[in-house]
Amino acid sequence: MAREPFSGHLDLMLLAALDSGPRHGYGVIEHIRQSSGGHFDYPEGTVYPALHRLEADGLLHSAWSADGARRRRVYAMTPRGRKALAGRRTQWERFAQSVTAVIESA
Amino acid sequence: MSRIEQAVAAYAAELRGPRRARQRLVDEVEAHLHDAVEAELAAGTGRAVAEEAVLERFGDLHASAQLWNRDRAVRRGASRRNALILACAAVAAAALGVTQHASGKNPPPRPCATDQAGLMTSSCGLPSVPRSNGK
Repeated sequence: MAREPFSGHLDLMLLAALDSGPRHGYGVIEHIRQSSGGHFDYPEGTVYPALHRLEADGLLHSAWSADGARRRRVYAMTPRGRKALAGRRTQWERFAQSVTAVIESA
Repeated sequence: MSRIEQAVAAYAAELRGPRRARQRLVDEVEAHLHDAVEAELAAGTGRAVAEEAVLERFGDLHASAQLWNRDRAVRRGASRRNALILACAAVAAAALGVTQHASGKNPPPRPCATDQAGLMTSSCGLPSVPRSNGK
């Protein structure tokens, strides 16, 4: 569900999912799915290239973590990532308020 | 070879770029797919159905690989452009220095004066500037 309409906001979702602490890719996807009540169910294959891109932009950093027999890449936000999240959150809130105002005025 | 292993091999074959970067992505995706299959198995789903469901949720492997390839290509292009701009700036600065030197606006550096022990006794390397009586 909701695979395409919110794809432009994937970066915001990924940063927000890491706001509460470091997670590996699977954990990020599960967090988004669960916290949205299953509404945002991104094609998981789009998430890893996006995480790599955000890391290359300096918004995230990552390191391998051994959990049992399997290694997982754990992502965490950088100070620059927190700043970017704050900015994008504000933009989103303005956008949502504007849409709501238009809908309610109809 | 399981469906997951086949998918991971196909994914790895699609990626372009440095081996280390590709391997990192492949390792992450492989761990992700195994975690997802294990979650399905823990919920009581049979392995074959679990693997199909997990691959379905992952989405188009080709599209994911192309997304990553495209981003890397864009970054590589930007990095080359920046290197070219820096090189041009360095050449321009050198050319300006040569031009100023030839026109006498930028005199050559003064040789260093040294004492008998070979220690430097005056500032050197910079063009001499007339002093204004210590004020």
